[in-house]
Amino acid sequence: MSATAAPRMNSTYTGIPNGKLGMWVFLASEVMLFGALLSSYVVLAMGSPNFGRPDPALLGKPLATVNTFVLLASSGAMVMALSSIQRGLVAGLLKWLAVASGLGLTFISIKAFEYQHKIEAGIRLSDNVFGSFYFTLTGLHLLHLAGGILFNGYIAWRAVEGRYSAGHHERVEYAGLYWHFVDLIWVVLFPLLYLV
Amino acid sequence: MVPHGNLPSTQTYLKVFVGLGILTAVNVGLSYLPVSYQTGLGGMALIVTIQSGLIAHFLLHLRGENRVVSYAMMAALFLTVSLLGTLIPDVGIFHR
Repeated sequence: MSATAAPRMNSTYTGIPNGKLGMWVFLASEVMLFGALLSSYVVLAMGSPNFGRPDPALLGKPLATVNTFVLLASSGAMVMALSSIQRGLVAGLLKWLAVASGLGLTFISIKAFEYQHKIEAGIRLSDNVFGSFYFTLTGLHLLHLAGGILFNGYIAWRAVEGRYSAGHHERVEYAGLYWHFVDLIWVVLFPLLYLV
Repeated sequence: MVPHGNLPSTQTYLKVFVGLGILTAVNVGLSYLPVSYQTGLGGMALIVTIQSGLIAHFLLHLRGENRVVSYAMMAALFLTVSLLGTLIPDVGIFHR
């Protein structure tokens, strides 16, 4: 398909393109997945005598704060990526996708460093309730972020093939929705795990 | 897709990201104050709710989205809050 191809939108019963509705239903299921884990975390943190929350100094609050800003910046890059293709700028799309993915990789690298530090400090997956939740929640979030980077790679590959234009870029928007959602999850996880 | 005319301007996005950054900084600052776990959780919940609202409203474009999408997300959120609501009474059992 040429870069100037017309939109290929088919009308649907809901008025929402099927791909977009599918993404939203997926995100709704993710709300329930993370919601169930977070609900359990809050209840056990408030009530379990074996919760074992470590000393705040061991949690690495400054590094996690930096990571939060890294992820917020990556969301900004995704906004710019979508904005670029809405103006028909494929090169801009590719550039901002690379920036967003690079920041995502930075987040993962910092988290890997944090994991190593935490394990050395005695915060482990099987040691207590906090450790189990910490590695499960952040690990699940990392997997989602890695998925987002792969999704961005797929979008970039299709963009290089000339599949997107100012009038046809639905999948770029879906990738943006997913990325911002992963950002949203971290905005909730960060204070719960590091600040309270 | 949200019509392009309904998307916020770059300046609006900039304000949203500055807002998110400030709220994150405030949240981190509050965590250094000597308050109880419950009080800290309350303050944090308020800030996180505002941040989540900003992301959902502006970045996920829920404000201009079809109502079907809003209903789907509200249903998921309702089920999650219901789960939390049914688990909260169990908090005391650990100490009985």
